[in-house]
Amino acid sequence: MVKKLFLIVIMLSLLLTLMVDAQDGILSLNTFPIPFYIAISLLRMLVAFLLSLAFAIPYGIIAARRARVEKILIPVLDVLQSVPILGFFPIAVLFFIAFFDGSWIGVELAAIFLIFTSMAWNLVFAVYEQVSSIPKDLEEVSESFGVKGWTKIRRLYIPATVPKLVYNGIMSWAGGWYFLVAAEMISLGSKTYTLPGMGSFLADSVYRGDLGNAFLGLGALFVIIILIDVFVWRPLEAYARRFTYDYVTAIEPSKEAVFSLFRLIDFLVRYPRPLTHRLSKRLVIIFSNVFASMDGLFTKIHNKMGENAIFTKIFSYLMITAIFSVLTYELILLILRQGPLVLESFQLLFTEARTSQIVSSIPLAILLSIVRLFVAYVIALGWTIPVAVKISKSPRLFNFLMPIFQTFAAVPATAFFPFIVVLLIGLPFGQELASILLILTGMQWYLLFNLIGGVKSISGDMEEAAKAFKVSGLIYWRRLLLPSIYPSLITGSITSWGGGWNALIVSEYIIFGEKVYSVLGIGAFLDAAAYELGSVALILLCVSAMVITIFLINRLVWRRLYRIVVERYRLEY
Amino acid sequence: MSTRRLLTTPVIDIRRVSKELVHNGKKVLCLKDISFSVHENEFISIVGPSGCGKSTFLRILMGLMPPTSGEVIYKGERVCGVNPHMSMVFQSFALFPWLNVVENVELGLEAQHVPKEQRRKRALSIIQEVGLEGFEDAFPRELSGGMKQRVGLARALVTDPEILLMDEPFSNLDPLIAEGLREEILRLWSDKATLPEIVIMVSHNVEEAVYLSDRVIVFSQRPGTVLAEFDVDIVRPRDKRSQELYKLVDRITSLIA
Amino acid sequence: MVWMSITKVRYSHMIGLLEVLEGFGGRVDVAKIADDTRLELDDLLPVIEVTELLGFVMVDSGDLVLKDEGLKFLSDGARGRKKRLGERLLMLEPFKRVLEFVSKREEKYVTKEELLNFLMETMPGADSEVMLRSIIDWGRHGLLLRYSSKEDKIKLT
Repeated sequence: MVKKLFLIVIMLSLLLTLMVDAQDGILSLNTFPIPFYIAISLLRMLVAFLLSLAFAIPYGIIAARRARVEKILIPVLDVLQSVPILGFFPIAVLFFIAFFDGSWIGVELAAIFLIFTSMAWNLVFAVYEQVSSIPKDLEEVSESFGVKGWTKIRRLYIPATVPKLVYNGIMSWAGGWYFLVAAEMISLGSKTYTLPGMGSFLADSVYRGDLGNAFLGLGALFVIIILIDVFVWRPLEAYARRFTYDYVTAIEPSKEAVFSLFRLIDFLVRYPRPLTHRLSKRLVIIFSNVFASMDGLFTKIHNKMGENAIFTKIFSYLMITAIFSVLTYELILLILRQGPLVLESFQLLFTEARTSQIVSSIPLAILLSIVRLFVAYVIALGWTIPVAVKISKSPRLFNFLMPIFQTFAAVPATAFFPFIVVLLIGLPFGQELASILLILTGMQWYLLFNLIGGVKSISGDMEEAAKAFKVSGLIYWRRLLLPSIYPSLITGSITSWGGGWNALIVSEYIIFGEKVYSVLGIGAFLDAAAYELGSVALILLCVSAMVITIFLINRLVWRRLYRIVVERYRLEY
Repeated sequence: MSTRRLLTTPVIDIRRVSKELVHNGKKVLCLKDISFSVHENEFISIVGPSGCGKSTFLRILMGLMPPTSGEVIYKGERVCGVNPHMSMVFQSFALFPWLNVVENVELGLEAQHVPKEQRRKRALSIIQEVGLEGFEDAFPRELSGGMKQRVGLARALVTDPEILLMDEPFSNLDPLIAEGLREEILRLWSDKATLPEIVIMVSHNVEEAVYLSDRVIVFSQRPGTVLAEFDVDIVRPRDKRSQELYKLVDRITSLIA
Repeated sequence: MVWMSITKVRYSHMIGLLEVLEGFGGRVDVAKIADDTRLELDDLLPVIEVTELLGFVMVDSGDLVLKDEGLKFLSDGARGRKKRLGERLLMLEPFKRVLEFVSKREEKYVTKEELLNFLMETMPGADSEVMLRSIIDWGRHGLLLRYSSKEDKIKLT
């Protein structure tokens, strides 16, 4: 089964490469129809996702199992997570693209690398958290029966991470779509590398002010995201249930929670119920079989390797030395070729008019960005808290609204941005309003989903006690509700601010109708550094400023708040 | 029985085992100077007040953690790391929720790289003996507590251990279900020569300890030391309601209280 | 319907009850059993009902008595017990019907959903989900059927 899939994927990609015109990486975008763009963007994202998984699983397991290594790996990950995608442009251009001398393979790899950076870190945390929290008795069982190595990975570590991998995988894909534009239009100053795809199609239409095409593209994106949600994520979520520790219903996942989107479609399109149900069950079985064959394949490889131990050792040493030497060679070449340019950009930092202007305004920019983030945050709190409370109380509302929210959370708001700009640009402070609104879209969903999780876990006993004592209104909010959700409020806030920082680069600097709309902020500076000035030094400076700010806020604000909340409000059972 | 013990060499010799644990940053002495020995074909129970370190001791026996001082001698050699001739049954069952019964049972054999067909055969055979036939493809969530513990038992037995360790195996079970399982374990232990010759059980239920065992070892409150050892010389099959049994249970219970 | 209590009782409960009864010599006051096992009478009665239904015990003037069939059951090995249980289960309506239903299928298996629908149609008034789970559980114990949740197939053995 897996072999068939692999063959299909390979054939499709070959077909696509034949259709692509390899000329300097700049292609005329109107030659191909939208479905093609979607297909090719999907393919890129799929490859990036698989690479992210291949990276996240070992990284997460090692970080969870070795305390000493953990001390380095996790902080590194924290830093990587706070670097916005633009911060990786220099690596994308100077390493990947330069490696292949500007040919389209290099650009493709660069794009895949960039998408990887918006997907991978999340997945590592999923693996890390799950492996760290494996119940002690399962660990003891493994130790007592001598379960280790590949057996342990496939029987304990990977199954333990599946539910969170699916959940975080959904978020990773949403992140991927969100920054697709940036990945498919890689720019470093005067040089821009564009790849055919949904992101560049949208960006191009918006740049030319072609609202019609932009609208079409948006619609297509919307449809494809819903399709993926229905045919991939829902079955995967159902499949993942068998890997949870406290599976409540004995034999089947409740039809309600998982397939409510089907209900929605049912309602709209009137499919016969048995059909959609059988389809979804079939999908779960298909996924189950695919994973089982992959598991079988890896185990076979592992066993073969075990049998020919010496051969495997020699082979792997050869491979590692080969890769290592090629990389070092290219790295040296790179430094020799690009080094001077990069150094130059550092020199120009303070001498060139535009760059030095930006450099001196960085503190102010950061301040203003923080203000914007704060405003968006408050707005988000204002609507997510009441909605989270309301929705958790009513199962019907929950089943109806959740899929809608999840779909909107998955559709990249970046695609709407131009329309919002058009609407708001005429108003006083229109640009500021627009950027705050756009930042909001990058923040609110993290808050909402975390809060919903928090409200749902309010103990039933406390609720009953509240009812018995007729506690309601403000007192209910102050004494029961808010304190119970503080932990998830904090974790939601941390992740939403993380999303907000990342959103700055697409919210503070928007290109529409060949005009640039930007506000004074660190995100805008980063964009300017990449797209207008092409200064590697400036990019690095802005990114460092951002990362340091994020780090400081995390330490001084969030960590403290979290500790206070956990100590005061944590419910011990 | 006690005379037999004096004449044969012990299979396990526990010599002055002590264990210090770190709890909330402070060092706590959990076990102090535990010494006793275990002989062939013995069923031993360790009882004592809760928190006295019985479960920790069992893990030291198994080799899951090292003693702070003292040693565990198995067949004349010092134990280093997990003892492959021992298997454990856990209080919480500790089944892998994503593996079905057969896969859970096979786990130990899979870790030993026993080829698939062979281990499947052995697993199915033990599943039948333990009364789980028909449930091979069931998942833990579909099973009752008693059935789950049977899987834990099958898993422990499939690797042909010489010694079976049980950590409060019946405390998470319904009293009626526990009753059935106790008889099952007795039957398995006294039945064939291939199944474990030695069973060491930790329990807080003195009645079940006396009913099942040849010898009951009583631990004190923390730090756990050996307060007393009682030989249960009552002939099997035992009557759960006999006077002999009640008297012994009383003696032991008063020691613990 | 008297076999409804089978949904409240699990096989291990029944085994436990029989072992306890044997320990008492085959005959004991029901109240004493409750006392001995520290179970509520409410919880004990369904177990007695089911064990009686299957023909292993009988109730005689407040005492629970182990029948010959029950004694034979206890002294059987694992396989023997299951065979005996299977025979007894087949005498009960729900199992008869379910096995008939599955055997009529060409592919010799049904999905959980199909069986659930069947139960809802033929046995209205019962909680079909609970009934289904119970039938699968007891059916497995009596080696009457097999269920694989991975493939969603309920087969006859």
